[in-house]
Amino acid sequence: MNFFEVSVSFLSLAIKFSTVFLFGATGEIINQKSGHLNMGTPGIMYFGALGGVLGERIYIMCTPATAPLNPFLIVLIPVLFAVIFGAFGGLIFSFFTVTLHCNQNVTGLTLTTLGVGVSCLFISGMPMDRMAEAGLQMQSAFPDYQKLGWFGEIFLSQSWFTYLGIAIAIATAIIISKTKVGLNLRAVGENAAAADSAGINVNAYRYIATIIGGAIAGIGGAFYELDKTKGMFNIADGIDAFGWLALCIVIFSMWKPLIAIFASFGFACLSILPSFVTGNDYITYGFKMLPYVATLLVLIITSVINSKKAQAPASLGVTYFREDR
Amino acid sequence: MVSPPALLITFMENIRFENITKIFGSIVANNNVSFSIDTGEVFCILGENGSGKTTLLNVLAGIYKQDEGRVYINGKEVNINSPKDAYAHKIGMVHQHFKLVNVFTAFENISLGSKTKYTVQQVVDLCNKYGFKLDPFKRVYDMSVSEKQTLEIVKTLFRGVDTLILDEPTAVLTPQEITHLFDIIRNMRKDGKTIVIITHKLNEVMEISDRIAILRKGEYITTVKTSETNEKQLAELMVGHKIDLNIHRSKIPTTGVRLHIENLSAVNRDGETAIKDISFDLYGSEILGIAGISGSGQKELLETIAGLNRETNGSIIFTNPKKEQPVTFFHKNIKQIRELAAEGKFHLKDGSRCDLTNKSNKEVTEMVNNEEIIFYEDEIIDLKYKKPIEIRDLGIKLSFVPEDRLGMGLVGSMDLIDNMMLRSFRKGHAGLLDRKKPAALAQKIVDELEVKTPNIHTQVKKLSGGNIQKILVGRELSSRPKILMTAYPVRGLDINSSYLIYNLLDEQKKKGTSIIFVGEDLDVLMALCDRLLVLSNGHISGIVDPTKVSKEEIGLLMTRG
Amino acid sequence: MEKVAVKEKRNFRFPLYVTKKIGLPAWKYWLIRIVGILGAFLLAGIVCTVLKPGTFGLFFSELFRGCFDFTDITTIIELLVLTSLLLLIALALTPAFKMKFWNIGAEGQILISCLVSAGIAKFAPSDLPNIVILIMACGGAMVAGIVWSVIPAIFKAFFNTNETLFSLMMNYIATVLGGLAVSVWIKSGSQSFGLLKQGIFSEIMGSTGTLTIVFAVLVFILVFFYIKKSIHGYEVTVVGESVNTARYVGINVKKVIIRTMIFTGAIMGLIGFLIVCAINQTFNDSIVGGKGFTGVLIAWLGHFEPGEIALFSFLAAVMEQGTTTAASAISMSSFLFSSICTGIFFFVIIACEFFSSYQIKAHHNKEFMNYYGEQKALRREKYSVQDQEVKAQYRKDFAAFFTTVKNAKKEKIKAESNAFKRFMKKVGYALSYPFMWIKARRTFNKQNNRRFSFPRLMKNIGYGITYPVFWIASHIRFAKQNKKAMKGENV
Repeated sequence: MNFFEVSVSFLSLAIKFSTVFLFGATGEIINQKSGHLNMGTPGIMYFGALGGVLGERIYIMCTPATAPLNPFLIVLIPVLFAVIFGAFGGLIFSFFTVTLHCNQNVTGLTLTTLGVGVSCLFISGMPMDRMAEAGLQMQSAFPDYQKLGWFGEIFLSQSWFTYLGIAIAIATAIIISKTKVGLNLRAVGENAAAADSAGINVNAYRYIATIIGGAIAGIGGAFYELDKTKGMFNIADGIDAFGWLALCIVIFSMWKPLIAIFASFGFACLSILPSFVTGNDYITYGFKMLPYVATLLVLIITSVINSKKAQAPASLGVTYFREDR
Repeated sequence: MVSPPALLITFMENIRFENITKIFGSIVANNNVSFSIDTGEVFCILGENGSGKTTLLNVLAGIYKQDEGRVYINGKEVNINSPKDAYAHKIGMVHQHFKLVNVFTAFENISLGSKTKYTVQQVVDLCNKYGFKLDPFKRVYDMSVSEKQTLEIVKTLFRGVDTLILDEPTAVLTPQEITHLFDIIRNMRKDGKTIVIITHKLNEVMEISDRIAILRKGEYITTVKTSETNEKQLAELMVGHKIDLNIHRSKIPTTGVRLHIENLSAVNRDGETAIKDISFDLYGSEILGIAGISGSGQKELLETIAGLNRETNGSIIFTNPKKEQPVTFFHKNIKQIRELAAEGKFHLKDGSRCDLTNKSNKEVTEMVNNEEIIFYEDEIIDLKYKKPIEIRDLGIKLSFVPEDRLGMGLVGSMDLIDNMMLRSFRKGHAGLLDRKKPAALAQKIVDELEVKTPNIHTQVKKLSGGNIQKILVGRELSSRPKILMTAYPVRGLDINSSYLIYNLLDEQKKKGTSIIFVGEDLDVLMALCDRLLVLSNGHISGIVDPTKVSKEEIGLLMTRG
Repeated sequence: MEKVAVKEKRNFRFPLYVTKKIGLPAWKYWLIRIVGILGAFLLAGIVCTVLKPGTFGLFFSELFRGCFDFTDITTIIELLVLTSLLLLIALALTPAFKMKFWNIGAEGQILISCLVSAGIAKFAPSDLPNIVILIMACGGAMVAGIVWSVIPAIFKAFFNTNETLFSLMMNYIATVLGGLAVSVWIKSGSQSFGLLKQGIFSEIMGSTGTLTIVFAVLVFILVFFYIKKSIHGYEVTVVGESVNTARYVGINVKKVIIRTMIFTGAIMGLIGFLIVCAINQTFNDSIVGGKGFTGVLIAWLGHFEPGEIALFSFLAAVMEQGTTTAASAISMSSFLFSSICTGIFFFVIIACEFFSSYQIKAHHNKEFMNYYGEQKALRREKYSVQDQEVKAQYRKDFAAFFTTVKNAKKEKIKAESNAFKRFMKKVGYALSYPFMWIKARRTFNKQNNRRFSFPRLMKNIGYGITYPVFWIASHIRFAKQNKKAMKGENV
């Protein structure tokens, strides 16, 4: 393989990988815009993975053994299940933080612990027949991508999930910055008291934002589980590691989904670089560290500059209680 | 917007409270309050701090839900469970603590939470109609306090409210801005709106209102017509007994310059220049007031003198009134005493020269403890590079009461003893704390200032605001300061406590303390202080004798520069 | 402008609302927590039964056996070691949390310390005595822990960088470094780090980690004094409450932040050292296994009080060790099962926190309350249950009577001149207190002609038991009444 071919497959894989991050980051951005520092996102992504696997399983069970798997349904049904499971995860978080007024950090960490445990348990118990076939089916949206050479290899060989992810990110960016609902959401995250006195139902916004954010993050988990491993399930997969990186991406992109698209790509490149670069252990692990170090740098730089425009939502991590005196 | 001509509005009952009771834990904020407000009038709710005014109107505005009682609007009983419901009934409230989103523009704040989409032209039209001055595209963090208040009022009007509630609107305004606001209120009344103002300022009530309801300690007292009453009667109704609203200002001669400030400039925590080129003198036995709109640099000036600001230019020279006073170990160690003796600063008790060169440390210590070493002159100390703890030890105390009252000077989750220890916690043995002396001090303050607390082991945050402030001021006063800087000491206090503190300050002045008093209430400043320094935008716009200038002139000084 | 129609029909409001509770008495607070803890265990058992039917009893017996098997002292020792480990982690985090410095980087801080002590233990010259290697490993681990902890502190102190996210990132960097170390240190041909041959603790009472318990007790005392009695602890509390106040009294906030994290880092170093050289005696990049995060939860749930933290460490250890044993008995993956149970445990405890700070109230309808009051009075008459005031009077009188009885006894004791006999009499008094009370009651009742009546007792019990039914019935009756009134019929 010459350098060109290697870079093409590298970029293609990077885009695929970035999808997982993008879903997680977009979901978390919606969470954080509403004021929820949701550290349960890794667990929620795991829930989504469980949902995706379950959905795929059910679809396979409903299809006769010899019939081919419909490429459209092979994406749609897992996505639906992932959305439901991810939304449920978001619901749990909101319930504990909004209704029971619990500390968000603690709830999030507990949710992650629980999510990892529950999901791994059930995923590992799933029967695996035809899953590999399903995984292959899911790979590419446009089956004829080879015809367009390297362009097709990189951009058109992606699964529907990838295009869906980018679409969702763009839609989120537009909704948050341009619509009324987005304005209200931002107000809830900045100053819940102000939003409340303006007549916005703060609790409703927080619930819905967390649920939708959870659903989106869940899709990311499902995609990783179903696609990346081509249908093989392994407990040590570490979807939660992606979840933490997604949190980094949120900060890195300064809570803007459009930047998150590129940030996800960058982090994905850094994540898969170790398997493309041969060298001693130091280089491999050095690359593994890069995403986290990059996030640290962003954290430091944003706090040093202390610009008013690129700050976190002011009420991030704060629970709102109207009768607080 | 529907607005019937003024002629067609009959003075019918618009809002009626019936037996409203609201309890927070063990505090009864409102107890069986019943009265009514008519349409198209300017109605004042008058009462001291803690009388339940804001709570009552918060019930009307949907922030709180009453525990008992009903609210009627236009004769029908209503259930207001949230601000949204209040808006549905055309009631809007402008709170004392603004509920604005800092990073949004004015226009975005106005559009927040509304169902219909507004245009900028609509905003401009409304402003012109009533006379508001507002830039729709300015971001809130760039706005001044009065601009923010204007934005809050415009925001509420945009909801189509017929009843506008204003909570202590004049607290943050200059006299000119207050006049402007009253003109706007009169315009709105002409337009048929009902305005409800919550306040405790008697002169303003007399100027703008049609009728006044008085609340006292959660109870409703009565409603009077403004034309049939006067300030004295209102004060009596507010407090419950005849009260002398005169602040006592002792006339005593000053005793020399104590603090000399020259060309002082400082930067605040955000990196912006807060005070520029400040120069003034502070004399012993005087109360120097500092007036200015919020954010003019008062806080930063006091903090700079107290040593809390690192980056300063200019000089702060403190004259420690030590003439003929013995030197103590309180803020000097043996090395420093020897140095000063070598410079000839001391003489012995019998008048002879003080020469310590041949004396051992033990002998010097004994001499100091017997108060044998006396200062010739007052000590001149440059405060600029001293640490805050050193400045405190010199007797320069700062008592700053911020909006949340507990933010600076007291730790809410600790009890009274631990709070007294804030002055002296380093004086323990072997790294461990010594709680005995602070406990005694706490008890002394509780007794002398009549602080209402179960005991000295109660957490400070559980006490009422007035008591918290008494502790704060009491702690600083108990150390017999040379200079006391106090900012907003009566913020949120009822009249009795406020006057107690004014008297305390006056007493301190008689004992020789210099006092810098930063306050919001111009009337109080003019009555209590000997001289008044007006800050505007970080500069001094003038130092005046309050007996010789008018409030309007001071107002102009506050906004100049 | 807005033209919003007033929704007249909307008289529905959610009947429940939430308000803050004021001043919960301590016993009630602990009752809620105990109920919560028991509920958590119960819930875990239910989950177990759902996953593998019929194992409810087995779950609890295995849980017990895994933790409290008195025939095999090793299990108890291991339980205490696990408790000590969690306790150490939570204690290390406590001063920082009291300062409102949300350090969740425990995992990384411990892991880095593990790394350094593993490296020292493995590569120290083998002719050095074991104890020297141990001391070097401990020292190295502490330095590593301090370095890893102090970095987020420095950035927070000088630039106000968010410490939560910073320390979180440091966790992952530490994990990567751990993986790197393992792969670099592995001898060619083997797959893992292998057991340490030197720089290890020897086995005591069946476990190599026994000394952890000793360290935990020492650190507990240390942290207790540090927070409550020392000047540093005072400064930490002030900074945590209000940075402005701290500055004003001359506390150097930056110094306090950094100093506290050095304290944390040192203890983290100790923990890492113990994990590698005592408990596990090996090293890999997942050796901390999530305990860092568990420690954060324990510290928070224990309200940063050393005593409560100790209790929760113990419970969490029981949960973890017990569920691991139970998992193998019901043939499930132990890691997953105990994760689930631990997650449930913490969620239940968190929910309990809600119930101790807030209460759910129902909106009161004044008319209903009047009606209800009348009905209650009628019912009391029907059951001829005593009026509250009469009961209160009775209790007051009896209390007075009983006090005279007690005082009489006390006089007699005081009259005794011999000190030893007096002491024995006091003991006797204490032991016989319940009997004294019963006797006094009987005498008092006889004096007032109040005889025990079985029917009366049954009536009282019946009154109490049927109370909920009565409550529901009066709601229904009242609603029916209202409906009729609205229709204009006679009530």
